[in-house]
Amino acid sequence: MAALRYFAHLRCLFSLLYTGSLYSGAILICGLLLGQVYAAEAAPQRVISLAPHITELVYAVGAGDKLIAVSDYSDYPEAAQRLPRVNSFAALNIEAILALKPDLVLAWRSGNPPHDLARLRDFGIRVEYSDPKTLDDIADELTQIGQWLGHATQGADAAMRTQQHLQALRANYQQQKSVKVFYAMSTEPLSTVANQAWPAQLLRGCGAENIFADAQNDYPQPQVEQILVRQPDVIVHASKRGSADPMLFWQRYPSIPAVRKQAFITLEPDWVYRPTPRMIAAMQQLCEQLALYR
Amino acid sequence: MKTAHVIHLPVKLMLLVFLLVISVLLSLTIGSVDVSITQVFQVLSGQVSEPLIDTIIWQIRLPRLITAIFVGAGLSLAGAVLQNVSRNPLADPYLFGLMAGAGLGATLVSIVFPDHVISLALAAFLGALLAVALVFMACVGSGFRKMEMTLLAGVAVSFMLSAISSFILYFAEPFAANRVIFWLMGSLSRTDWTSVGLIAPAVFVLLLVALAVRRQLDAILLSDESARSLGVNVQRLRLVLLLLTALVTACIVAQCGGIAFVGLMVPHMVRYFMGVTAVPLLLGSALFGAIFMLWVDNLARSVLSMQEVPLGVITSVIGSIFFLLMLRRQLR
Repeated sequence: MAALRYFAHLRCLFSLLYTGSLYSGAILICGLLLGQVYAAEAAPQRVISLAPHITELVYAVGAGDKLIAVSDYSDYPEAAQRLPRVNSFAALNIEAILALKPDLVLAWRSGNPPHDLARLRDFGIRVEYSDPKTLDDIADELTQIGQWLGHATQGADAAMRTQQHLQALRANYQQQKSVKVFYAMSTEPLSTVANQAWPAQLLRGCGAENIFADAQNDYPQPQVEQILVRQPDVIVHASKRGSADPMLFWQRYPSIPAVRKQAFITLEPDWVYRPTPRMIAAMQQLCEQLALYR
Repeated sequence: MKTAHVIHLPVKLMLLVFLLVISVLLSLTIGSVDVSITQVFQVLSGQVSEPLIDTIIWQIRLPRLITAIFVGAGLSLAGAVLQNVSRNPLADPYLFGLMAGAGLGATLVSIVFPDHVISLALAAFLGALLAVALVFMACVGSGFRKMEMTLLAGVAVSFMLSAISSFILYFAEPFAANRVIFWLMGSLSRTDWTSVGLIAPAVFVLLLVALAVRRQLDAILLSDESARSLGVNVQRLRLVLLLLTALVTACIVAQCGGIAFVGLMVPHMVRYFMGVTAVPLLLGSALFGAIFMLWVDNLARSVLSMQEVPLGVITSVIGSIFFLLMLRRQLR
């Protein structure tokens, strides 16, 4: 009898739990739906990008029409060139930003002056940060920016495409025979890349051996002697078209294998220094051209 | 001749004050957002106005203009006092390697400890004090009798500290390094009401102290011996004024970075137009320095449409041309 009563209690409890969960489930679904509607309504409409790579990412998630102003050098895609400029690397034009009445400012944590950003927040402006450090971060940035701007689906799509592209390149090239590369960021002064510098990450992604991978900082300034000793098979340049031909610089050092074989690769600088989907496209170019010298 | 000079001084000072007021009002209308002079008067008199204009005038332009006034006045005053107590026309507020010290502080805090244990301004201030302390430690035995030795010690300290900064900058993340270099060239873009609160009292104290010892300053101009025979404690006066100007300069540098030329040249211009004795020199330097800095900052804000030109660049260009022209007229 006692067992029966116990069982009845238990059944009662179960049915309570069951209906309860039904209700809470319904409430949850309603809440989610409402949240979606609310999120779509609350998505920012007047957005300012404070860095060239952020501008590119905003267009990449299809939210370019929400941009009302951009940073200096925000020159891609072309539509961005028509927008007013409100900052350089050194300072934000706070007056101009306030006058534009943005509802979201997308800032670059390591590139924008922190003091100026703090002032923007003091004036009650919403500031969100982008700070990609690795190639894999690009996809995360696309997802995040898509969410901020109410373009979550497009952001996720763009992120997936970019990440798949990156993985495919890695799978394809990292197993190939290694090739010794000197990356000439500039020849006057002679400087190269290592560690977390973007081109150094691209070289690693292509399975190439950066001859200055052992350097202390990201942008070391080596001496020509060290390059003669380390004997690179390929020399990679990233310089604007129209600047002095960097190839001429190397012709006086025929003892470098890359010079002997005239193994030079030129990349578009905007592509290799801005963490956007274009960087992965540049990586494909680099990998393909390096493959010729393996 | 002498009486004519005395009669003219108040008139000249009034003229400078008038110019300063006009400059402030005009400067309030300059910036990337269009604000008319009527709107300026509306906002200043507290009448109802657009909130955006109100924020721009009260929170952005006015604190910046007032900081510019005190920075210009402070640097020029410090320069004038230092030139007189050292009797060296090349003495300037950055005499003790102050700028290099502040630069080292700024470099350390933005590159080695970027997580902001202390603020950049405080770090720059401490760096400037370090430079002053090093110079004083080197020269304290001499009792500052040989001013040229103090100047040389300042040069040595300056080289030492900036070498350390350069070494750190060399290994720095490029954006942080760029920002430090830009900061070193001087800018008022970071200033707000806090900066006014930090700089203004220091400049006032320097002005009052210098005016209080105006007779002693004039006596030192002749020579240490004649000053001593007039009952001036040359060493003590020198020590107090050196320390005070160093403190004022350190406050300014900490807020605005390095603003070249003003402290060196404005006193010379004032001597040319207003006279060499302490009262016209001090008051004239403060007012003329303030007006000069105000217009230099206006240029810095408006020459390039969406960017600012470093202040040190403009002060040096305008100041040096003006000074060379003045020198030519004087030599003829």
